[in-house]
Amino acid sequence: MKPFMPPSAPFNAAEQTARFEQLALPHLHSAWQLARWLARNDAQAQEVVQEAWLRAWRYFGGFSGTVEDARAWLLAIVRNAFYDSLAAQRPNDVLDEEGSEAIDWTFNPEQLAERADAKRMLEAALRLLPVAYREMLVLRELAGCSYEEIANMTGLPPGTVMSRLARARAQLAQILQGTTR
Amino acid sequence: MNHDQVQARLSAMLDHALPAAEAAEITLHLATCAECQHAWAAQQALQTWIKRDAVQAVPAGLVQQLSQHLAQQTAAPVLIAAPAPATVSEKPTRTRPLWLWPGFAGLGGVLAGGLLTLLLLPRAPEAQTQIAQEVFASHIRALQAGHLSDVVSTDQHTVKPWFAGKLDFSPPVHDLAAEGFPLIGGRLDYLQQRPVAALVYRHQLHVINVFVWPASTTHQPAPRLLQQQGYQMVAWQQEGMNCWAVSDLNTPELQKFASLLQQH
Repeated sequence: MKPFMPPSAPFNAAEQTARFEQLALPHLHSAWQLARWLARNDAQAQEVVQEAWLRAWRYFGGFSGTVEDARAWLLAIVRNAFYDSLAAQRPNDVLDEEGSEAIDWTFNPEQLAERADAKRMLEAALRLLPVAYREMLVLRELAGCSYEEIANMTGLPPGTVMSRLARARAQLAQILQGTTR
Repeated sequence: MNHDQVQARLSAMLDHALPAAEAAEITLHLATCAECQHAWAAQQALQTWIKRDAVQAVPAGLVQQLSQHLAQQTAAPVLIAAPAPATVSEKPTRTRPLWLWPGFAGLGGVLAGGLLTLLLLPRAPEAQTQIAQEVFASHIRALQAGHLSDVVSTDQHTVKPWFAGKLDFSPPVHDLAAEGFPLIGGRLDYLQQRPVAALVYRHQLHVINVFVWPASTTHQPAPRLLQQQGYQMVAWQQEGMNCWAVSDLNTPELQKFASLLQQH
């Protein structure tokens, strides 16, 4: 059972909710990016965020950090809400964490990024990544989390976070290269 | 640092996650190695691309939706569905709660929620709301204090006799382990100015408290479903007892649990 401190008296609820939203809303953008890239579609992502919001509100009494700290706190809750949901059904993605990270970087993403269908192409490639790699990229690039924050919220050693990110980028590059040939 | 080692660290370099000395070494290598230079440029381009194109605006209405959802969950206990399935053969999952009422959501807020309850359900007895508050508070206290069970047993034949001599009634105790709701124990609690039996069940990681005390009337109201602060409550009568189940389980599952108990 996770420890939590539910907000005390009901008559306080409105005030408590206002304080909670002040803390959490600035991070909704990041939370949304994470949920969207974890879940299969937007509808599922909305459910994940909604569940996370409710959990966050419930745990809020035990949270004592700043608005800045709240980002990693909230993202961790989003992540848990996703993995607890039926939507997760952990796919048996096999992660190749042993092989070399060195790949052929001779292609140029810069040119790809200028194509008219660049956004669609990138999204399709990201969807092909194992979710464990994809979430690393999202947490780092879109939510701006540090290695330490990612390590804390995923329970992975920082070294693994580092190597997963390297592999995620390498695999993404490989997929992009493959689709353009 | 050789060429391969440099390549392996470019990603960390991109994240400014390398010790200064290593970063300096890589910068030095980059100046002399065309292949690494190219890889470095490609990594940077990929990062820029991701930051630009993998982002999606928060859907319009999501903020409002979250806020309303929260308001509903945090309002004073709200009767969200009047007659829950009285016959147990019905599939409880079909009873989607009525809390998505348009209009209701739009008003939100504690006061609005409370007022509407009174307006829309003039017969919802005030006493129910008061019991709901007590049940809810009792559930939270038990969780906070880690004081769930005085008698810890998964055996209904241990739990039921334990209450003998402590209460002037014998609560119905049924183990629902086979159905995924194992009994984990019982304790004495105090509700409505009287000692009551609290039976503790578990479903996955969720704790369910069931409060039981003798009903003062033989009139059997339909099972009721209430919500407070993200917790769900179901109230019903069986075997001449008032029963209140409370948990953070979702509504259909808690209803299923209540139906299973009534089946016994």
